[in-house]
Amino acid sequence: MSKQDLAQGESIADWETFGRLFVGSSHPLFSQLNMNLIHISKTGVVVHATIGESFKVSPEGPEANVGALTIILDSIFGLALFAHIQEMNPIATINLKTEYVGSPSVGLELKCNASCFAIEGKIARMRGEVCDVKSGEVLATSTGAFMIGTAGPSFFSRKGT
Amino acid sequence: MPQNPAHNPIDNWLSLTSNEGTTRRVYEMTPDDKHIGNPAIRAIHGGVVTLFLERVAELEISKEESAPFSCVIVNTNVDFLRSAKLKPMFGAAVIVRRGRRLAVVNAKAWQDDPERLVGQATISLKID
Repeated sequence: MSKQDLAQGESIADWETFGRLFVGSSHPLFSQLNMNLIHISKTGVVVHATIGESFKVSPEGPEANVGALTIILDSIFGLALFAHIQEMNPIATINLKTEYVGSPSVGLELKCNASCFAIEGKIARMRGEVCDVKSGEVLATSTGAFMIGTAGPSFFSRKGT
Repeated sequence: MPQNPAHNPIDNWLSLTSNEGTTRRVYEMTPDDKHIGNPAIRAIHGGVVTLFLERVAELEISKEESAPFSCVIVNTNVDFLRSAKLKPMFGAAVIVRRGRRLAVVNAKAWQDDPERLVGQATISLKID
C-alpha cells in the first residue's frame, strides 16, 4: 500500500500497514516524535513515541514541553478514529482537553493509547493517555471531539481527488 | 522541575517572536514543513497550534512578572475554529486570573484576520 493508493471514503484492508505509514518516519512532524505503531484495531490504537530534542524546555535539562504530548494525542486520535470507522473520511479536530499530569523528558519512551468511545451523527468522541513505558506513570490524559466528513481531502489523498 | 518560561528552546522550533503592540503583545509563529499535520492540505497540525497557544500564554505570564518565577501548565482546553495554513500565525493572550499559585489565561490565534480565529484556548498554569 502506498500513500497514493487511498481515496476519500475508501476502506482499508491492511490497517496495520496504514497505521505504520500514518505515524511513520516520512511524516515531517511525526518523525520528530519517533512514533512507532504497536497496535491498531477498531477498538483503539497504541503507539510508542519518544520526544525529540527540539521540544526541550531548556538547553540544560531533559524536560520537554508538555505540548508535545498534545501533538502525539491529537495525532493518534485521528488514527484511532480512522480505524474505528474503518474508512478514510476527512476528519477535523473540533476541541481537545488535555490534563498534563507529569513532566515528560526528551528521550523517555512513551506509551500512547487512543480510542473512540462514541459517535453521534458526524461527531466522534475520543479519549487517550500517554504513560511512561517503564514506570507506567501517567503523563497526560486527553479527550477530544472530532468532525467526520469535513470538506477537503483526507490524510492520504490521490492527486485530483 | 518548572522552568522560567521566558527562555525556552521550543521558541526556535516554532520560529516564535513577539511584538509590543499599542494595545497588546502579539506573538508570531512562522510555520514550515515540520509543523504540518495533514500533508494533503498542508495545514498546521492541531497539536502545534495548541503548543503555540500554550507558549503565548506562558510568555504573556512571564512578561507580567517582575521577579524570577517558573510555571507548569496544568491543563489546556483548545477549540479549533479554522484550518491553519502554512503561513504566519499570530497570537495574543489575556490573563483572566493571576492568583498566588495559579493563573488562567485565554489565548487566541489567527492568520490573515484577527477577527477570524484559527483557534482559541484556555490554559491553567501553576506558578512557583
